[in-house]
Amino acid sequence: MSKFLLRSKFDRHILFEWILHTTMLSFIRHRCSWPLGLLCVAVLAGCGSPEAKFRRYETFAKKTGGSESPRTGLPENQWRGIDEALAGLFGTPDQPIIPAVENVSLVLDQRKLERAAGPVHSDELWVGMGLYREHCAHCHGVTGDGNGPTAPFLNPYPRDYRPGWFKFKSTPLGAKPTHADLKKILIDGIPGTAMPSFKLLPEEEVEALVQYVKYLAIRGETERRLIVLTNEELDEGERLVSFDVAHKSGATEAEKEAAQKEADERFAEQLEMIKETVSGVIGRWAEAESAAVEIPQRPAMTREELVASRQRGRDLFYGTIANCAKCHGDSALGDGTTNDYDNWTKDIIDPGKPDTTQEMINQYVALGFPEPRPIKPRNLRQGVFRGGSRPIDLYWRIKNGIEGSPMPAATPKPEDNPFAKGLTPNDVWDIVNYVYGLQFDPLSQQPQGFGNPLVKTN
Amino acid sequence: MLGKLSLVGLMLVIATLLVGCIRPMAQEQITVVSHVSTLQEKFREGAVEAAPGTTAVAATPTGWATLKGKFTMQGAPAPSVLSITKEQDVCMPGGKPVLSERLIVDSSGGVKDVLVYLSTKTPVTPEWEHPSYADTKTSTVEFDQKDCIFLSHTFAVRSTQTVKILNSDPVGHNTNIPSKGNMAPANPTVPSNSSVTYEPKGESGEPTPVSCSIHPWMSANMIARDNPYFAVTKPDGTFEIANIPAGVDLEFRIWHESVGFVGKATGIEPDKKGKVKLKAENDQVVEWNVEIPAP
Repeated sequence: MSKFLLRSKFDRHILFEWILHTTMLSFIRHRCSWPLGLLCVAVLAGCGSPEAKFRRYETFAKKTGGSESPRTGLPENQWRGIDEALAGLFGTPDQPIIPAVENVSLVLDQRKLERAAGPVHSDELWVGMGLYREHCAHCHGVTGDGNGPTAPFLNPYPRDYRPGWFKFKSTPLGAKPTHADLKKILIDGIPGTAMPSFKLLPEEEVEALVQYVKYLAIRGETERRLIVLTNEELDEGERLVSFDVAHKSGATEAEKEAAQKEADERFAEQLEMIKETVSGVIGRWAEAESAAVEIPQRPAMTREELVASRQRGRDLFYGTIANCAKCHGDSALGDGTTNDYDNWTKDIIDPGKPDTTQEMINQYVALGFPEPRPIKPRNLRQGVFRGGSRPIDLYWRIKNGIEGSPMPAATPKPEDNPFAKGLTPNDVWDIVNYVYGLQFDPLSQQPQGFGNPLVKTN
Repeated sequence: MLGKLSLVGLMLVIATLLVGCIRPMAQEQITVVSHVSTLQEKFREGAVEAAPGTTAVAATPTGWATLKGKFTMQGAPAPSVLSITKEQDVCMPGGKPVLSERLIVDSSGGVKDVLVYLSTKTPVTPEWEHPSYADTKTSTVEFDQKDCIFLSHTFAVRSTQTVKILNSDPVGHNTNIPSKGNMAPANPTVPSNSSVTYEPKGESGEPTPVSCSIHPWMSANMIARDNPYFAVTKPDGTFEIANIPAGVDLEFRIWHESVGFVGKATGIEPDKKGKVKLKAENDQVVEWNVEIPAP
């Protein structure tokens, strides 16, 4: 018990603050006895506010290490090697730093990062600081592990940034999102989830938060790679970075010097290996900025043309090329396939496999893994599209698929082979038109053009 | 009296709140300040130059050898029956139950789909790659599905090869290949009786689970490797990797879906992570007859 108490200092901190505010308010309002109020203040204030720290990625280490590994995936000694390497590269939640590698300036900006980091406060010019902890950490967690204090109560769970996968983006599967993609999510929020819109924040605050999200994602992915490195490349119990020089007892000066030289060389190799790892991660983010998939012009249509386009879209929706209805259901209510899991879950453990037991899931839940929930295909009749409701957003989702989810990418029709199966850009637009209009169609009727704001009136 | 009661009540509420909200979390980082400041300084200095002479030049192979053998298992559990929830006319031909392919053992005890691959990082030079592998370097390999079953349950390719994902069914599929290591992720829809291509582009240290979101019971494993030295056992449990580099220290890894990395076996001595050291003589035929304990 006491171990858990110590381990969730951050949760406690937030809770204390909340209790403090509410009890104080109620005392003032209801004029309750002041001694009682003072007692409460003393009890709560005495607990202070511990320094926020990043948490280890134990679920991933456990998964990588396999069933023979220790409870937390790695021995304590090896964990500390990873902790120190990460702190050396990225600093702490209060003092973030940017790893000095090639192209990092294309991806991260130290000054913006500092505005988002640290505890919530304002500087001497009343500029708001600690934006991440003010707006994001209660759901996404200080570490960006999607495991803040409110996380278990939300459905869907807040995003865990650490694998570096983001769903709603303009880039193809496997590529990172662009800066603009993440910014759009912050500004518009994600309809149908707990993610709110931050449209009311000043531009520079949104910029700082996007930077910080990228920082946490890069840090998380680096941690994953360092865990794999520790598991695959190092000897049992060997640390990722080692600072101690082993001197034999009674060693001569020459022997000591040789041991020191050897240790220095090993240290340089270790640093090189860590640096290579982090530049690999940052390189992918830098590439993404020019990787957005271009969208061909959406054909302008009259009402009759739109009705015809929606009819074609409907045929594709139910056909065996696009296969939409297989998961989204025969009535597009999102009830076709409801027993699959997203990659954030399957990456650690796949509850859908027949041999996965509750016991196996529990060992990850004990490390902070959220209780797995099946992922549901979108109910397309509600007109609530998480990645945005513009036609271009729907086009990207269909064309690229949705990273980390079961939603596949459309197979393009090859231009050189008219007999090969696939979708042309106009086919995709037909599906977009059909899907967008579903929210206006009564379930019992064929698609109509009426009442659809996409219809051009001329 | 009332005041006392409310005080006790308040305390109880606070206690319940605190206890009720505490849930297991991962451990916070533990660092030594001086270590971190040393590292930060070193990283800030820019490129860290490895001291000259430390990059050990690996020995060059003196020739070629063959690694072959057979994996067996005694007392394997019977395969479970998959629940086919959709399109049973196609996915359950004849209404016969479809069995899981997670662990298939034949009558002689041979284990299908054991993956054996060279895990040593080898230079990409002709001395390390036998000419017989030149043709497969950028060739196209097929990964098919029929009756809603991936025909290659465990599938290994070279990262430079192209995978032609076929769909031999009259229904549509999608092939969800999540990212693993440097292997590119993909999740294309594969129209009925058609095909799409996938390029892994990079290698991964362990197989990634392949699935079809439309038919969630479908599963396979895929790994991409930079070097050509890998094999998947046939239904009788045998495998052969021809022309492996000889005269050098190599390390192979063994993996099977039912046990993960094979850390326990008789016949060879793998470490806990399924790694087996091997140094073959020129033209030697190394033979492994390995028994894996049942999961």
